[in-house]
Amino acid sequence: MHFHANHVEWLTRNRVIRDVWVKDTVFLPNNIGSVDVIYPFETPPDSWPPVSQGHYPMHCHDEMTQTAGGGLYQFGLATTISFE
Amino acid sequence: MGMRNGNGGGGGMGGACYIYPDAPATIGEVTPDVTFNRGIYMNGSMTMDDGRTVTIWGFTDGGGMAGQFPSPAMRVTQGQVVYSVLSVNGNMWKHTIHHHGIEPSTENDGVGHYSFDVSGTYTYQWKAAHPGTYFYHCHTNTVLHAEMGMYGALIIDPPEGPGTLFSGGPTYDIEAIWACDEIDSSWHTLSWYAGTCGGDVGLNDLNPDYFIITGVDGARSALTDPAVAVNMNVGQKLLVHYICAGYLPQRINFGGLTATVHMSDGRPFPKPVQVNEIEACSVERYDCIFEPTQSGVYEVTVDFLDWVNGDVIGTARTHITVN
Repeated sequence: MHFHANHVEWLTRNRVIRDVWVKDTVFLPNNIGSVDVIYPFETPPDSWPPVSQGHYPMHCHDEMTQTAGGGLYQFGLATTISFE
Repeated sequence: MGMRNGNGGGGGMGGACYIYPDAPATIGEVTPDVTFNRGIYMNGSMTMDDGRTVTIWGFTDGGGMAGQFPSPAMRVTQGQVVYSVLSVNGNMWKHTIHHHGIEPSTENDGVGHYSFDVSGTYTYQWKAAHPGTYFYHCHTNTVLHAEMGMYGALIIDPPEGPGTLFSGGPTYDIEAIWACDEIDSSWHTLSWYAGTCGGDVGLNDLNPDYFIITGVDGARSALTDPAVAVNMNVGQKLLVHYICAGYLPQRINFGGLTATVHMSDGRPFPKPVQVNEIEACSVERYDCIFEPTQSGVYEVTVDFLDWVNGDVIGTARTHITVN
């Protein structure tokens, strides 16, 4: 799972607490597993000039999942993160 | 406001849907500290160890030679304001640059369906906040364009410059970039807008037949190609910028060497970890430092894992030779 605009604090994997790594992409394995992360909604750190508003995707980066029915890129496993 | 809606085809791009051609002025433009000029090429190729040739797309450095794969790396210093100037001319196709792991404004994030697909020339403006290993790639019809090879490394050095991972962090003497990727050659004959209007063009079904490291076939060539294989001496410190550049999970094993991993995705760990192998998912990056104490030839293997059942479906190999 890849997050745009902010890194996340990665807290758990399959309900096990782990060393907190700050990541932009977190491996969610194929075992009906789970992760807990904190998305901080901070000013996107590389924005220049800094911005406080915007909209960004969070999406699976196994890009095959970004399709629907073998095409239609952008209509797959993705949603929007909005800074309002 | 969320994802953009509606059809954006037209303009001579018959057959493309959900494409948003534009090249607005950059908001809040300032004088940059460093500028990268990127064009695109759609007619590159890579010859595999079995003799077959596969079409590759990518970015050029300014008006420079087409065909470099991966695309030319970007390297900047923490704190610099950067221009990535993308020129997509001729109205034949559209592309973007997404600086993966870099977190700028929406307009400069380079996701076509959240902003625009560059038609003409657009200047992405961003500031390099955190040192580390990143990655840039096209985010138009991404599933296809990144698979076709439209990516390159992006490295932010701390103010100390190359040789230091981050301020207060470890140093290194030599470095290598291993961008490990799988190729499904059956995808490499599709048009740039394949599938965008619907219809099954197979982009949900990746069946790779080649496994590569930094643009070199991992079947044999990467064992010796100096762009990938490392030659070093006992006493030296090697930094490997490992980038999981494909779509499938990978397991990289260091052939008996121990990696000290200090950071991932451009952020230091609270404490480094020592590992013999790493499992990573698409577009994670890990910065690995090696300090071998014994001479020898160490075979690094990168297993590419089925994303459903975890089976190994291919392997790329290279060597670290320690003198």
